[in-house]
Amino acid sequence: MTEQEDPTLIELAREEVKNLEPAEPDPRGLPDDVPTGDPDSQ
Amino acid sequence: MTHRGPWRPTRFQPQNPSKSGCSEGWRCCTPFSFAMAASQGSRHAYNPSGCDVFHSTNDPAGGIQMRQCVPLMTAHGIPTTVATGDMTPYALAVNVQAGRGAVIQGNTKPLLSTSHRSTAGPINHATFLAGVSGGTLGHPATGLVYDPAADGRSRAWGTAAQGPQTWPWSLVLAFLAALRPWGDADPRVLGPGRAYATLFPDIEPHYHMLHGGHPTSPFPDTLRGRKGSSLISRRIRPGPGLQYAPEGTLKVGQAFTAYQWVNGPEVDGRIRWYGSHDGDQWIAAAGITSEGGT
Repeated sequence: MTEQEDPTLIELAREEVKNLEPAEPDPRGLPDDVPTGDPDSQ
Repeated sequence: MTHRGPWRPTRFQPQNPSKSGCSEGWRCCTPFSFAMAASQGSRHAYNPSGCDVFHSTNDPAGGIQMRQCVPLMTAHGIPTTVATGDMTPYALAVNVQAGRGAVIQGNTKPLLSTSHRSTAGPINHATFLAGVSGGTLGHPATGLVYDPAADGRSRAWGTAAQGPQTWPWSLVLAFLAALRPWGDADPRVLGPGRAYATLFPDIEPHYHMLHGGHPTSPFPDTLRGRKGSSLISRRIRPGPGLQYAPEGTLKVGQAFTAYQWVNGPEVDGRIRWYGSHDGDQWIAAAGITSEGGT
């Protein structure tokens, strides 16, 4: 936390969440999920 | 889901096997990020280890994907929303500004030349974005990042950062955009305007409980300097009591947003004190009047 400090911004964000649109579809056809790597391996 | 009450920092969980005790740790950035997100998202009611999340997937190969971690969250009553490129970074920011944590996937290439480096090379990686601060709607200034690889270890390439860290939001965006959705071996990147992320429950509003503070009602409560009150009662102090040196004065009619209250030393016949979100500013009840009714 989250370190929220501005109640006004929190309320604005809560209202804005209701209006959010998804990103445009990527014509490349993105995979549903992505494997990750090993942080300690060069 | 809306929680109201105290907030405390999530415990950082390094994925390094020598520190986590999880032999598969290096292949488990996503399970470790989910574990920390689950703890915050449940307000610490459910605190799995990264290894717990990994084993819940029944996938011994490692390189765990976000959706493989979701069933354990669901089983413990933690709702999640997974987005794989169909969420904009703006939407991610707004959701986190509204109080939700998020596991985010990106690539560490933009981190390698910064003090936030945590990996040997550029790889797809997952971290827990616990919150954001500053900036404007959809465009925060910084993010509070729990990178499970940021364990402070020393290697030939240098010393890893130590989580949790504050990243500039521009670095969060660069991390997201650098993701290689088709795998580390494929040079194509996600690019700007999209994010791979899993959203966790809303934990706002909250407060940082200090001095045993209780949540105000309503929460938060807007108080104002009361006409006719004494100057001493309108002093703003770093703690709830006259023993704390004043750091300012609330003017008559000026607003003070209170998140918590305690009973303390009497001022002008009243013993209640009101505290700020961070618990670092307090004012005596005798000096204020409430709009909300606490």
